Parts: sequence; C-alpha cells; structure tokens
Amino acid sequence: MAVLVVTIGLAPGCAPHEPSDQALVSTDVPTPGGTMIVAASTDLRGVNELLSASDSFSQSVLRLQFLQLFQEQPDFDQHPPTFAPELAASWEWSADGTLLTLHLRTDVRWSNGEPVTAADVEWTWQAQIHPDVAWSLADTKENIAAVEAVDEHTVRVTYQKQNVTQLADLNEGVILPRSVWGQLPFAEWRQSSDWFLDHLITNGPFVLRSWDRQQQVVLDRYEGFYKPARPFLDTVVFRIVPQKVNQVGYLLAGDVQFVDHIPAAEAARIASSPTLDVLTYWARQYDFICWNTARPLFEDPEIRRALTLSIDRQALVDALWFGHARVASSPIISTVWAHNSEVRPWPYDPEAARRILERHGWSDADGDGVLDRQGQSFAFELMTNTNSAVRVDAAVMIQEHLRRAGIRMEIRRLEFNTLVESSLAHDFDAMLGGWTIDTSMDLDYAFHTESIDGGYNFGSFSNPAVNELLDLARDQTDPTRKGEILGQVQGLLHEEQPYTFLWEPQRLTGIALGLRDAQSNALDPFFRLEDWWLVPTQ
Amino acid sequence: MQANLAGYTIKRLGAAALLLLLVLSFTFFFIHLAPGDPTYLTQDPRLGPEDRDALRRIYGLDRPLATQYLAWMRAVLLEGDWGTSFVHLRPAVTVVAERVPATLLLTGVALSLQFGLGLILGVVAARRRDSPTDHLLRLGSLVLYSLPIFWMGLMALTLFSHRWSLFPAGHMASVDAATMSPGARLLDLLHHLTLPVLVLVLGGAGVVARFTRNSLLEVLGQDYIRTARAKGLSEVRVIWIHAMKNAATPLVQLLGLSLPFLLSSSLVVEVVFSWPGLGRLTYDSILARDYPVILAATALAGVLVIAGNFLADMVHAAIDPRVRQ
Repeated sequence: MAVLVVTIGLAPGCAPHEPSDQALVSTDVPTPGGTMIVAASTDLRGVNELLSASDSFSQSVLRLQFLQLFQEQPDFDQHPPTFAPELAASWEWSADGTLLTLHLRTDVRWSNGEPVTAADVEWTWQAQIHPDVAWSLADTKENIAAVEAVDEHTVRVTYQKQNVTQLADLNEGVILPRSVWGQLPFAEWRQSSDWFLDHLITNGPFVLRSWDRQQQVVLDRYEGFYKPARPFLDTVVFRIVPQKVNQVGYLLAGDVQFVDHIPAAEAARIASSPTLDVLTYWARQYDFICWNTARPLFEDPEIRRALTLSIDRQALVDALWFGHARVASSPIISTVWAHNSEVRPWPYDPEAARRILERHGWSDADGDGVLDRQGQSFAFELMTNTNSAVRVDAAVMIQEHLRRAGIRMEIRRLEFNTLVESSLAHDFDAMLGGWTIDTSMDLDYAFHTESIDGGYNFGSFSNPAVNELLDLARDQTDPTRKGEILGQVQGLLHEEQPYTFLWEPQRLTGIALGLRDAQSNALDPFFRLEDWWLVPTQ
Repeated sequence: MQANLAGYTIKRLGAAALLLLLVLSFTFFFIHLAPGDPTYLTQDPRLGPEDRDALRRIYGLDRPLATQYLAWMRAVLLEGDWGTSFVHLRPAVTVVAERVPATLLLTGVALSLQFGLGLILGVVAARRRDSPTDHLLRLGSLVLYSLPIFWMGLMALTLFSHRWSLFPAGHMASVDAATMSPGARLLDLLHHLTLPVLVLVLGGAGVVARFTRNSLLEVLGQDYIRTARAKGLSEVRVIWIHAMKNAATPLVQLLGLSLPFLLSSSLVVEVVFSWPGLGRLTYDSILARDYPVILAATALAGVLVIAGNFLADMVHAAIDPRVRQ
C-alpha cells in the first residue's frame, strides 16, 4: 500500500558530501533532562488519531502520547517486519492462525491514573471501524472479524482468514481511552476536535503540555510512563515553521535541534557545521512517470520501454539529489525484503530506444527534429505538481532527454488537488508523481485492473498475468512464497513499464550533535524517542 | 447636511451588504467547482472509494451544489452557523476568529507605520521638490514598492536573523514565552513583530509617500496657501493644518484601498515569518479544500475590506460636501 506524496524539494546548489548514515548512537551514559526543539512544517491536526491519521506529522506526535499494541521494527529489508511488545506484553496464535490472544501489560496507566485495559482495546477497534468516525485507515481492519476483551488484560482477536499482515493490520492505530472518550457518541466525533483536547488523557512516554496553534506544540515527559527512567528528555517542543528554507535557517542558528526531511541541496551546508550532522536513511518512497496506457501513444509496452531508455535517470539522480537517491527499478523499493534484485533498472540507451521506435514506424520524415508516423508527431504532455521543485526540475531535464530522442514533451504544472483529479479521471498523457509505501507489499493500488475505476491505477494499466499474480499474492500466508510471487510481478512490470521508475530517495535529517541516540528511520522520524537524550550544555 | 450624510450612509451600507453577499456566493461556487475536494487531502490507497463517499456524506458534499449552497446560506443567515472545518473538525468561525488578533496586530501596526512614515516622507519630498532628496525618495519608494514581498521577507530573514541574529526568524513568541513576566512577554512580542512589520511597511510607505507628495504639491500651488503664508503663518502650520486638510482626501481613499493589499501581503509575510494569522490559514485551507474555513475567512476579509472602503468614503463625504450630493 502506498501514499501519493507531494515532495516539496528545493533547488540544488552545492557540492556532494558525506553525511552520517548511522544514527548518532552514543557510548556515553545518557543524561536525563533537557528540551529538544524540533522544526515542523505543519501543525497538529488534533489529538484524536482516528480523525487526523491522514497527516503524518500529527500521527508522529500522537504516537509519542499514545501507545500501540506492538512496535513495528525497522527490519523490513530482509523479511516482513517483526513486532516488539508494547502495550501487548505477549501473544499467541491458534493452530489455524485466525485467532490471536493478546496479554496486555498490567502496569500501563492513563494519565488520569486509570489502568489501560482490554476494554480500551476492544472499544478502540469499534471506533476504528465505525462509519461515523470514517477513519481513513479503517480498511486495514477489514480482515478482523472481532476484538473481544476476555478479562481485564486479555484480548481475543478473530480474523476472517490468515495472511502475512495480520499483526500489522491489528497494530494500525493507537489505543484510545474508552472511559473518557467513550462518553462522546461516534456520530459527534467529526465536529468535536476541541472536546477531545479538553478531555485528553494519554498513556505514552510524553504528555501534551500546551498547543499554541500554528506556533508550537509542547510535550513533557509522562512521569507515570511504564518504562522506568524513560523518557530521558524532559520536554519536546515542535515549532511550526512552514518554509523548509526557514527550518534550515533555524537549525544553522541553533534555534532548533532537529529538522526532518531537509532538502538534499542543503545537506552539505548542514554537515559542514561543527555543531550539526545529517542523518540519512532510505525513505520508503519512489518517484515515477505514469504512462496513460489507454492513450494510443502509450498502449504498446515496447514504446513505453523506449521512453524509459531515452531518459537518463542517473543524470536526474546526480543533478537533483546529490547522491542521496538511486535509480529505481520497481514499485517495491530496494530496501524492502520483497524487492526483486534481479530486476535491474533499464539503462540510458538512446540508441536502443531509437531502434525500437523505428521498428514501430516512428521516424523524422519531415526533418523538423520530432519523430512522426502517418502524419502524427510524437508529442505529449507530462503533468506534475507545481509545489515540488525536484519534480519540476526533473521534468525539465526529461524534456531535454526526450527532445534529443526526437520526442516533444510539454510540461504542465498543476496544483496538487488538480493533479489528483486529472489522475483519477485518467485525463492525462503522462504524470510525474511519487508513492510512499508501507511494508504490506500490496501492489493492487496501482497495477491491478480492478483499481482503474475508483482506485489509483491512474494509467489504466491492465495485464491479466499481473492481475492473476496479485490475486495469488493477496491470499498468501507464507511470506517467502509471497515474496516469490511479487518478484514475478516486478519482472512483468519491468518488461511492461506502465511506470518509468525514476528514483528512490534518501531521507535526510539535520540534527544537533548534542542530541544522542536519535534513531530516526523510515518507519518514524521519532522512533523510540524515549531513548533519545541531550548532552548537557556547560 | 446631517440628513444627506445619513441617507448616503444607509445607501452605502446596503450596497456593502449586497457586495458581501455576492462575494461569498461567488467564492462558494468558485471553490466548490475547483478541482478536488477535502477527501483528496491524502492519496492513501487504503482510503477506498466507499470511504471517500462516507466522508463526503458526513461533510454533506454528496448533495447537489445548489442544495449545498441554499443550506449553507440558510445556516449562515438564520443561525449564524458557518459550518465545521473539514481539517480542524471545529467550528469554522472559531478557527478563523483565533487567527484574527495575530493578523490585526500585524496589519494594524504595519498600516499605522506605513502611513505615518509615508506622510512624513511625502511632505519632505514635496517641500524639497526636484531636490536630490526628492529624487532619492521617489526612486527609493519605487524600488521598494517594486520588490516582491516574498523576496524582501527572505532577505530580511537572511540578514537580520540568520546572519546578525538581531531578530527572531519567525513566530509571535519565544519558546519559553509562557514563563516570562507580562512586560518581558510584551517586549518579546515586539521583538518578533519587528521584521514582518518592517517588510510590510517598506513596500507600502513608498506608495503613501508618493501619493502625499503629489497631492500636497497640487495644494501647495493654490491661492489660499499663498494667503496663509502671506499672513505670516509658520510653515509647519501651513503644511500640516491648511495644506494637509485638502491634500488628505486622496490619502483617505488610499487608506481604504490599502487594506486589501495589506491583507494579501500579510499572507506572504505570515508564511515567511511563521506568523499564525488569517492569511496563512486561508492559504492552507484553500489547498486542503476546507470550504467552511475558506468561506468564513473570505467573509471576514470581505467585511474588513468593505468596512475600510466604507469608512474611507464616509470620511471623504464628511470632509467633501460634493460627495454627499
């Protein structure tokens, strides 16, 4: 599964560098105390995750205040992700894999002193699937038939069928306080954001101290947190700074200690500061050009492949990402366990592209520099979102690469909503966009025929063999077998090229050197924040 | 004269209310017909077509547009209910009202300084017509007026905040403002206010100065000014009492017209300086298709602009009897 992303990059302008690719893990003894200040691009949407899950920043901040049943581990490169105990201390499966029994921790308390119980877990599931709540991730609970509180600290989960994402599906969403939030009928939730703020109780490592809208969100350590002596930090302040360029300015001036998602062009400047470093990790994201296969120009896979061969994607990566990206080859990115490493990116080979196009009757018969066939020029329009400088710059470079191949491409920059509307209506020739993916490895969203109407198969790509394999993968209970099937899908997509896969970017985080044991990763920029600490200033 | 002024006022108020209604209706249809809707906020495949339909039903967007418009108009006019924000899930009026003080503070201070500074510079330029000072002021005001606000904001940040650390790079208050004494908090606010106000004032003061200069030069050539000087009145009295009384008429009009410009400029300044005002809210709401907030903010901006123009017209009418005819 994936999320269409709006990459807001900045124009590049400095030399390559060698930032740290490891978390700043310290061998010193952690020192409790201190305030970490984070620059954030957007404000908190609300304190109820079921109403604000579409916003990743809100989700990150809320997950510092509310616990999940498990903690997904960033080990998805070798196998499906594993889960560490969090609110659920242990669990066991029935023989047929459709019944899960959870044993909750008995020492976790809400900030009002009440214990967190199985009733909270059961009620949270009811809220998650309630139509009036309209939680954006409710579909992740589709396979769960029932969640029942067996006793105060035991929960029984019944699944419709066994599959490889059962724990991940159950774990989606934090556990909410039934005794307090259960007082408000679900039908009133979507008008009552302030009510949840007024009745906020939490159980995570941090509690909300204050929220000055569009200014800052202040979290304090929760003294009643179940892990002894955690968190180390006394306070975390999220300063809302809408402009990325200003966030970098704040970081360089020492006003903040953490800026996530810094532009690649700024990495060298930040890394060269004696008080700062840059953490890097591979984002679970890829950018692509989606070809509208319903249009005659792009209906032939060979033509799509010729287009891919005509685009120098390594040049895009070098010019726009300063080495902080690599050429993509598949919708399952190379840092994920199910990636088929035998699928190598198509090379930049304009000569091979020319031969393919010639074979299909495209030649510059009238000598105007543009290929034509039966009086029709090889010309099309590429649309992308206007607020992504990286994509707009990439479009300009691609335009030049294709011009050299005798293909005329116009660039159409659109506001994000307009881009989405045109994409959903299949009203485009080609679209430059990006997906952020999770670890469920569901590729139906963009490549199954069923996703053409109402789904996200923008390019109307339809291939019976791909459909068959995706159907087969969906019901697999064995991750190894699922990986093999997905490997075959990737092979087919490589040949068919419904997308030209452009790049997989790294995510760069600017960080003050005084901040230790930061463990930002592709799952969460604030992963295990309770273990982070600040070196005391003299 | 009073009856004339009252009649004129009633006529202008009626026209203002009609104009506001038209602006809101236009905005309603325009924003609803723009591509996308609030469910496009996230393109998460886990949000299927049925989920989007459920959200549209909850938001009332599944009804015909004319029905939505009539229901919205009825709620606004009869119940004063501007709806619930799709993004904030709170009453749109509350969301907008929270941002008003920040924008009013920013634009109020900027407008006062803009006109104060512009008047002084305009008078100086008019008094020293065609002198190097006059040329410098005219050229300087033209240059400042021509510079994009966004660029000026970034330059101000780069120089005064990032390079010399003289002023904060943004926000209305320091991280620890809540622990400060009231006096220290006020100083902290003024410290944060300086750069955004400076950026707004620099561009606008030049326009006021040019208006003042031209208007004053017209008046200074008239007979009654020569008479006043012949009577031995001081130059300060001649300029600021006698000449300015007549020269002020176009400036009053300019004041009314400055409000929309200042509101739109403040949008840019609020984004650059992380200022939590109405402009930034409106901008974010448009991107998110948060219709109730867009309409409430439009209404407020419309009221402010119309009120500004209305007051300017009233002052104009009060000082110029010909307008009341």
